[in-house]
Amino acid sequence: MVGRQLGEARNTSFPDSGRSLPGESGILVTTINKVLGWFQANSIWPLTSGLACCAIEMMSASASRFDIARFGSEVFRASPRQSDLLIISGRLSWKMAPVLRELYDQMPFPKWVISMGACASCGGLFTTYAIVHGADHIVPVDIYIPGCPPRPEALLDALVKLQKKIKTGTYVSPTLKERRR
Amino acid sequence: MSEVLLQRLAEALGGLASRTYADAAGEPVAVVEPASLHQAALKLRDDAELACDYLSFVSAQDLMPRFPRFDGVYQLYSTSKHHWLRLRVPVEDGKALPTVSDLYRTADWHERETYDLFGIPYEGHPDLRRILLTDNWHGHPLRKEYDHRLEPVWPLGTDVLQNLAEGAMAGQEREDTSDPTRRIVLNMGPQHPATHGVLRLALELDGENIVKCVPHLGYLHTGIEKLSEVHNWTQNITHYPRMDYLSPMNNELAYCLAVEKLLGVEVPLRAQYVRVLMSELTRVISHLVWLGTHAMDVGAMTVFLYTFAEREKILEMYELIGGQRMMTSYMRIGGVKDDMPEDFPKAVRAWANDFAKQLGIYHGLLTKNPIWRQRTMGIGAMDRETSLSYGLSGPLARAAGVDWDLRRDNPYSSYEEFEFDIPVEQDGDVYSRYLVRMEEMVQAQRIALQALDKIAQTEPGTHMREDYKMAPVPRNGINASIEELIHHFKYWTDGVWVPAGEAYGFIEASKGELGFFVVSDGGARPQRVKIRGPSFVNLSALPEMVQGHLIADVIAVIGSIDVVLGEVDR
Repeated sequence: MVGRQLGEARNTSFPDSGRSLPGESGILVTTINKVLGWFQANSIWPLTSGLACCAIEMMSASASRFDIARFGSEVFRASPRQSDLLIISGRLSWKMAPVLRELYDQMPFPKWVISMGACASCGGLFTTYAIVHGADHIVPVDIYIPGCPPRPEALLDALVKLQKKIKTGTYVSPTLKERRR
Repeated sequence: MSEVLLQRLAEALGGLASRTYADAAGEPVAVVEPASLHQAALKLRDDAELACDYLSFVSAQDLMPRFPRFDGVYQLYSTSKHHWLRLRVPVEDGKALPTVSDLYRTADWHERETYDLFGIPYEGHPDLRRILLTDNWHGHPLRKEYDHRLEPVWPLGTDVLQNLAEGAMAGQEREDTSDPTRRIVLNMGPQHPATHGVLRLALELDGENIVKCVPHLGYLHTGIEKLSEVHNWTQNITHYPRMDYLSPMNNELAYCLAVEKLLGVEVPLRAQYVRVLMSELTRVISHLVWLGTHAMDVGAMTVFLYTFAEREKILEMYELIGGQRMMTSYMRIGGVKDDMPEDFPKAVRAWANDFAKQLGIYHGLLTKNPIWRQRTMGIGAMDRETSLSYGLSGPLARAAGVDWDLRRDNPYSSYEEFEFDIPVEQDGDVYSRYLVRMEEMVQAQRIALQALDKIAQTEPGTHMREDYKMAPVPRNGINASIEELIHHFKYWTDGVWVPAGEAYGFIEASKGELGFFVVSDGGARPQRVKIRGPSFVNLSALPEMVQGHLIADVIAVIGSIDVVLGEVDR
């Protein structure tokens, strides 16, 4: 490097210096939707909003053993304005419902919702006056996870499915596809 | 013992009690008229022999169609003499009961809860508002005519949104209104990373100092007590682990003990030891979550990763013995569901051998860490008398110098056969609570190892009572005889029929005294289940603890209370 001009080095590595093999030119043709989907799917920032038991499994998913960072979602944000994903982790009471809706409304687009566990999905075992029987009464839900509480692996699976959904615009499970045929 | 106590109670109350009797577990109960309740409570508190310095809970029972319709229930305890007393106060619908919140500060929130769920007003209560449901809720859920599936009437909760801003003090007067620029009201929660769930605090601030703190609860109110009256005695076990979800098996144990008191049965020795083993492991996982999240709130992220890795080891044991990571419903009426798997003791020993080293790591990260000490020492301090008056139990009370542990003082499930120490600190601040809980984990590991030795001496397969009126028939028994098939059918369709009566089942859970007050009318479903959750009572002392501290200290104090909102709101 000693004695070489700065401009020289740049000139030799410039893509259009006479060679035009595909891939070597540094240009890739794609659609904006695909690129955006790829960006969004691999950096989903969930909102730190725990409701009940499932929140503990959500914490387990983010801790040492299950390590949600492998899927690019370790950045749990405490502010809804910085997050893309709302994980409804636990039973949702009628008293909490307006607050949850407010949180969802504060999140910037694009945003997604995972309903974690039986209680968030349908009220689960608590068929009582105090509980919303299905969080989809309050916010639109993208992925439902069964289980009471679901294992952290189930949450990770939901996350991967959500990534597929984001990348392709829509995600239909293989079993459902077969049934449709 | 109990007869002497009953006699002493009748003597002390004299004409104030219209009747005294012993409940299913032999604990004395006195029936008192509303007019003489306050006087009776004062006598029981100041009597030298009874010395009931601790009010466990205040609740009620709906006895419709009886007249008078309700019974106010007051559970008292003596932390020096270690005995329980209960007062029952019959009251008509619409009539008020006198408050005892001037005698015991525990009563403050409990009376609000009873008012909320039963609609019984309390005369002289300083701040009688709904506590669990929204202010504009229709009806009182624990009344018998209230349908448990009833959906609330819309529009509901608009006040929740309005209150989120300046009006958050919800009818509370500000301390000083002369200069509106000086004091501000800050809303914290229900969505906040450091409130350990959906707790909401309205903080009135002078600069950054807290002048007044008003907790708002009920954002996770589930109606578990109402649901308990709908499902049968066995089905109910499923609800309770989801209440305090950090220590699931503790909740199951307390409920099973209460029902077994009503049934008047003892469980086999092997089951008792397995219960001890599992409740100590449960204590450890609960404390590990507390330690990890508490340290993370205060700024030490590393501890969280260590403790959750350690917790996974015990959750694996949960899976091994109960088939699920958290909500196992493993403790059953009459014993435990399955016998211990063969490789279970090996797994526990492997964990126990390693655990001391792990604790050493946590101590190394925190105990002498200057930042940790500055953030916790002298913060949220509470002295012995105040903590008793607030009804604090468990590690919080022991950190304030109350030498009281139900495992030692009122042993249940054969705890009297175990050797363990009870750590007691005197300062009552956040750091003392930390030390107490750290030592409790050492003791829990010690008890778990003793339990393994004791289990080894018992006959395998004796984990459940062989009484098919209260326990399920084993699978091979169903195929063998017609009687057992009938029992099997009756058990799973009808459930357990529990004789009429009342009992209080209590344990020393990871957070304090966890109690189930159960009443049966002789049927397959409970007439009333009152859950005395330690978190609910411990949290009620929060405003006192944070008075005058900084906002950052509130985070440290909430962490040290180890609050689980599932149990607070139930």
